[in-house]
Amino acid sequence: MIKKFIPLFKKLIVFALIVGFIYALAPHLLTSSEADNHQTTFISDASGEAMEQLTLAANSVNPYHFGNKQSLTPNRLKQVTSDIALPAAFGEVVITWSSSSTAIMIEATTSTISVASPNGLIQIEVYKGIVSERPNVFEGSKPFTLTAVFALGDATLIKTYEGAVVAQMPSDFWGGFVYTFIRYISLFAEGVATTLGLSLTGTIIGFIIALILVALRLLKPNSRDQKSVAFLKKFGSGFAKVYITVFRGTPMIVQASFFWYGLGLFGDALLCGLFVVSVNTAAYIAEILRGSIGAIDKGQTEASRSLGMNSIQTMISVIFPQSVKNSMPAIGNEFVINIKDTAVLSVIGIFELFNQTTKVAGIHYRQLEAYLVVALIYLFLTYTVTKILQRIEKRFDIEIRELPSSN
Amino acid sequence: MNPIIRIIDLKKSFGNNEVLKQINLDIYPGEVQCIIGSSGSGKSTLLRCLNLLEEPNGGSILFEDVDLLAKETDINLLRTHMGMVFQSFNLFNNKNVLDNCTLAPIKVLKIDKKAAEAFALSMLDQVGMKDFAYQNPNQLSGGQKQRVAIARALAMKPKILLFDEPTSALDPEMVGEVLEVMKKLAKSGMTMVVVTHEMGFAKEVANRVVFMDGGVILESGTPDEIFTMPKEERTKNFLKRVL
Repeated sequence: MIKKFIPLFKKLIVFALIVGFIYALAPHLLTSSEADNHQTTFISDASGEAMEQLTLAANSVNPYHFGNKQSLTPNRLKQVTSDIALPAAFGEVVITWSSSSTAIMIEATTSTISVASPNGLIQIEVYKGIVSERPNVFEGSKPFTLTAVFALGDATLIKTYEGAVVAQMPSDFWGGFVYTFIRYISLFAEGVATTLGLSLTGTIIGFIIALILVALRLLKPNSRDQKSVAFLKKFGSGFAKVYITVFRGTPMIVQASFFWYGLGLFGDALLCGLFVVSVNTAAYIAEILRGSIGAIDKGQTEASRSLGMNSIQTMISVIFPQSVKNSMPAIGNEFVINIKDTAVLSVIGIFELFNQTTKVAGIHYRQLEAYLVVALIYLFLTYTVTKILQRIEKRFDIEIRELPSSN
Repeated sequence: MNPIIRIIDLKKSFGNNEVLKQINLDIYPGEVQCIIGSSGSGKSTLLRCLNLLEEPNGGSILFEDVDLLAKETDINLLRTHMGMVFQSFNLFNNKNVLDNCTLAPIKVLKIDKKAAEAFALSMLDQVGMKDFAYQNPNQLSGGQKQRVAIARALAMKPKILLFDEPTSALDPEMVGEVLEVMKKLAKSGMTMVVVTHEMGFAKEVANRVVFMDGGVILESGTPDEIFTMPKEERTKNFLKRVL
């Protein structure tokens, strides 16, 4: 029974990888615009001074959270979890409220609450909007529309507020765990896409840079070279050595901060993050490649040179293909490491998986549940990617070895 | 007739270890020279100096009157004229048999792919490996690998072939098939320098046998001279042990 789903499952993983890849390259393709967040409509027949007062009232009045007296901005109004307070008046303007949905029931009589204002605490009259129907976490949210009629004498102005009642986070651990996962699954999914995209693209770009690096690293002047050629070779090799030492010797979090906050590269955090992952991975893969080139029998080079091929032709046609094939498991391992290591890029404000989780944890101040969810997601990602890579290695007939982490 | 390769006062040392001391040797076109001697006598090093896989420390090597050690010599070009066959075959593991034989002709001689493949196939046919053209080296036996290696060297149309103990890494059973191929080559008039422990082959095929010991050429001559009436005591001892 379960076996039937394995191919489907694999397809899903591959799909997620592709989506992540696209997302890393062109994030705007996948994220919808957020223009529809805030909808208010004004209908009015008033004019002149009355109109001015009504408009001011309509623009100033927001519903409040009944418990903590926070003002509910349009975004917060879409995340209502408990009773709300609807002001009954603004100056001389009288406001009456009605709700389109049974999710919010508005009391007929007013009550008094004190809210913060620029002039300190003030007492205001409010209608209490009671949350009468609360969806469970699997149902998502129950939308409602509040219609406020602002009246000044005979003049009126009607404004509507779009809102939604959402599930409340259960107070027990497992309830909170499930709630966190279900409620914020789209946030987590976005994070997964960014993380996979960043680490996959970063590994591929890093691999390409590493090929160049290792070619430079292995340059050795010989007795037949002209002075200028010998100097260039020494310079290239020295550059690669310094590059590898620097990028392997400093933490990625420092590199990310240096390039983003220090140099302000690219002007786009995601691009800058991709750059950091790529150049960092390149240093590691260059060393992996150097090791596997060193492990290739010297006879291969000798045979190639004895046929009259020069050192560059030998590298490209004989040595690189073999060493790349041999180091495929280690390079795949770098990808898995990158899935975990891109978490540090949250420091430059990329909303990859870890940063999304911090956001989620902050909404409810329930760190344990959020970080357990993300730990399991990371584990799931690394485990499945490792399995997929092993499959690929098997297909390409590469010897599978258990590899230690490089950092 | 001018020698194709002329070695004059050749010296080579690894650190303080002097491997070749003042080697003088001429190799003539169409000739098969076998270099024999005990391990560590410098035979392989001498052979590897001929196409500069080892850089000599002194003396000179003239290939058709061109000094190999001169700075302006294009060593890659000269190497195309000197095919080399190694003890450990050294077939390119990432390429199949045919690609092994066409890689250098395409990349170095700039022959187009079709012509290179046709010629490589005829060379593979010559060593009896045509049927294996699309197999990978790791599917072949040692003797088959070595025959492919010979075909790979021949595909460059070399003027001379250097053999570095071509049968030393082979099962006794497979030595025969490789030696057969080499005999055929010798008969066709190919110039060959063979470092070998196969005394039977040296006796039968060589025009000249060179005995090396301790980094010098102790004795050289026709197979008859060396094998039946060696002059040096060291040569006698060596032959007594190996024959």
